[in-house]
Amino acid sequence: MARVAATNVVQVACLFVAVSGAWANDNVILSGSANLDYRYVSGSNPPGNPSALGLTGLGLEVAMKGVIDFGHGLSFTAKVCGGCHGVEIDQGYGELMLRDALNVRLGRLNVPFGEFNLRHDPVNFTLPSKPLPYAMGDLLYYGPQDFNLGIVPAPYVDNGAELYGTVALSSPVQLDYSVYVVKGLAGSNDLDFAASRRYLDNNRIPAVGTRWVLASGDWALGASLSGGTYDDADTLTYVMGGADFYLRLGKVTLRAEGLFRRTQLDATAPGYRYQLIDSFFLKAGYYAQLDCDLTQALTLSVRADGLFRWGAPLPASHLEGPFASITRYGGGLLYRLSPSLAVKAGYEWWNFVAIASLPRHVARAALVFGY
Amino acid sequence: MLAPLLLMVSMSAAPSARVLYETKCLYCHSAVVTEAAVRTPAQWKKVVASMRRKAPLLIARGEARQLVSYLVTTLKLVPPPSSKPRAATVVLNSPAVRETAPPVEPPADSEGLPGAADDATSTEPSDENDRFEGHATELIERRCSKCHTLSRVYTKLDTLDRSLVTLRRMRLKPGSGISATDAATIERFLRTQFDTR
Repeated sequence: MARVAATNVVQVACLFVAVSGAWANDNVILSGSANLDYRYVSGSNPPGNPSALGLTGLGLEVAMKGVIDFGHGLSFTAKVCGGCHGVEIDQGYGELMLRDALNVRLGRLNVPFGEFNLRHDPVNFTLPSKPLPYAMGDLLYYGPQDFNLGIVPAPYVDNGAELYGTVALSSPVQLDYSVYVVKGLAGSNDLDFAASRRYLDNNRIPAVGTRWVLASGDWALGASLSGGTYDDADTLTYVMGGADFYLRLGKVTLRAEGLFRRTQLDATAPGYRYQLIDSFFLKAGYYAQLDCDLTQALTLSVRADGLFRWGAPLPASHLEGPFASITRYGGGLLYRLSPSLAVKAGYEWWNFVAIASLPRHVARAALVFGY
Repeated sequence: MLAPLLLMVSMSAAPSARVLYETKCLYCHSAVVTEAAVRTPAQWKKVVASMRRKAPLLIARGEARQLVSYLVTTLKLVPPPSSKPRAATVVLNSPAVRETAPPVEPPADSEGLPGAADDATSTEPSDENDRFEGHATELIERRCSKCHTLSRVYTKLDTLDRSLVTLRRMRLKPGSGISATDAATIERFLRTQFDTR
C-alpha cells in the first residue's frame, strides 16, 4: 500500500513539473492542493482506516488543476488528484461560456449536486473532515453492506454534459441553475461509489439532474435533484435530492444542508434477514456548521451532522435493525500560516444506533497547502 | 497616569494604518523581520512594491502608499538623520536578520508600477480612490472567502488576463453570489491595479 501511495505522489509530482512551464502564459491558470491529515479514534478495536499510506490514521490527498483559456469564452479544464484510490481524473472538460444565462460544459465533470461538492477540495473547507452526507472512506463503519458511505460521493465525478448559467432577478439577487445529463451512479444492490467513477457506463439509461440556487452577496438558498438507474440491467433506480442554506453575518458564517437518497433494493438477492415489504431503503443526512473568523488568520468552527438509514439491511450487513444512524458533534480550528498554508485541528464525538459500537471520540489534525 | 492615555491616543490616531500593517505585512512576515531593517523612504517603497508584485490584490495600490508612510513616519524605520548616504543604505539591526529580511529589488517602476521609485509622498491618492479600493478589496474578500478558506486567491490574481478569466469563471459557479454589479466593480478594480500607465 505504501508503495502504491508513493507511486501516486511521484506521478502527480511529474505532472506538476510537466505543466509548470505553461504558467508563463497568461491564458493558463494553474492551481492545486495537498492535504496531510491524521486521525485518532478512541477505544479498543477502532474501525479500520483506508489510508493508502498504510499507516493507521494518516491520509494524503494531492491535486493539481489546469485551465487553458482559448478566448471567446472557450476553455479546457483538467484536474488530477491522488489519494486513497490512486491517481484519478477529477475534472476533464471543455467549456463554452456563451452568455451569463447560457453556458455549456462537456466531459468529465464535478456533478453539481449539493453545496459542499463545490468545496470538496480540503483547502476549501475549514474542518479536517467532510460532513457526513458526503463522507467517503473516512466514515467509521462505512462497509459496503453497512452504511456504505454517505449520500453522494465527494467529489462526485462523472462523464456527461451540463448546461448552466445565472439570471439576475433584482440586484443583487440572482438565480443560478444547472441541468445535466451524466453516466450516473453504478452498483448492483446499493451504490458502489468506486464503480461509479469508472469511465465506461454500466447501463443504457443515463442519469439526469438539476441544481438551482437563489443567491445574493451574503446568503444563498439551493436545491438539488438527481436520479437514474444504477444496475447493469437498468432495473434498479435511485433518486436523491437536497436543500442547502448559506448565510454570512459579519465574521460568522452559517452553512446547513440536508440530503436524501431513495435507493431501490434488489428484491431477488438472497440473504435478507427481514422479509422485504418495501424494496427500497431511504438514506438521509444533514450538517449544520458555524464558522467564526476570530482573527484574519484563525477560524473557529463547530458542526453537527448526521446520517440516517431506514430500510432492510443488505444481506451480510452488520447493521442491527431496519433503522440505523450515525450522529456526530464536533469543532475545530483553522490557522492560516500563510496565504497558501494552514493547519487544522478538530475533535468529534460519534454516536451510533444499530451499529455495535460505543460512542467514539476522534481527534484530528491536518496540514493543507494550496496554490 | 498619562502613559495609558497617551498610548490610547497614539493608537487611535492612526488605527487604520496600524491595522493595515498588521493585516498586510505581518500576514506573511513576523515583526522581527519587517522591523529589523531601516531603509530610506524610497527603499521602503521599493520593498513594498516588490511585495505587492507577489500579491497585487493583497496589497492594493493605495494601501502600498499607506504602508510606506506607516513604516517611515510611525515606525520610523529610517536611517538616523546624521547618517550619510551610502551605496547600500539598508541598515540591519542584527546579523540574523540579513538572511530573512526582504531583499531590495530593482526599482518597481522598471516593471511597470508607476512612481515606485519616487518619494513615498510624491503622489497623493484621492479619498474617492481610497474608498473605492477599500470597497473593492472587501468585496473580493467576502465573495471569494465563501468557498476559499485560504487567502491564496490573492496570489492567484497575479496578472490582469488571468484575473479576469478567473473572475468570470468563479462568478458562474452556482451560488457564488457574485452579481453583475459585483463583477463590474471587481473588474474595474483589477484594471486599476494592473494598469501599467
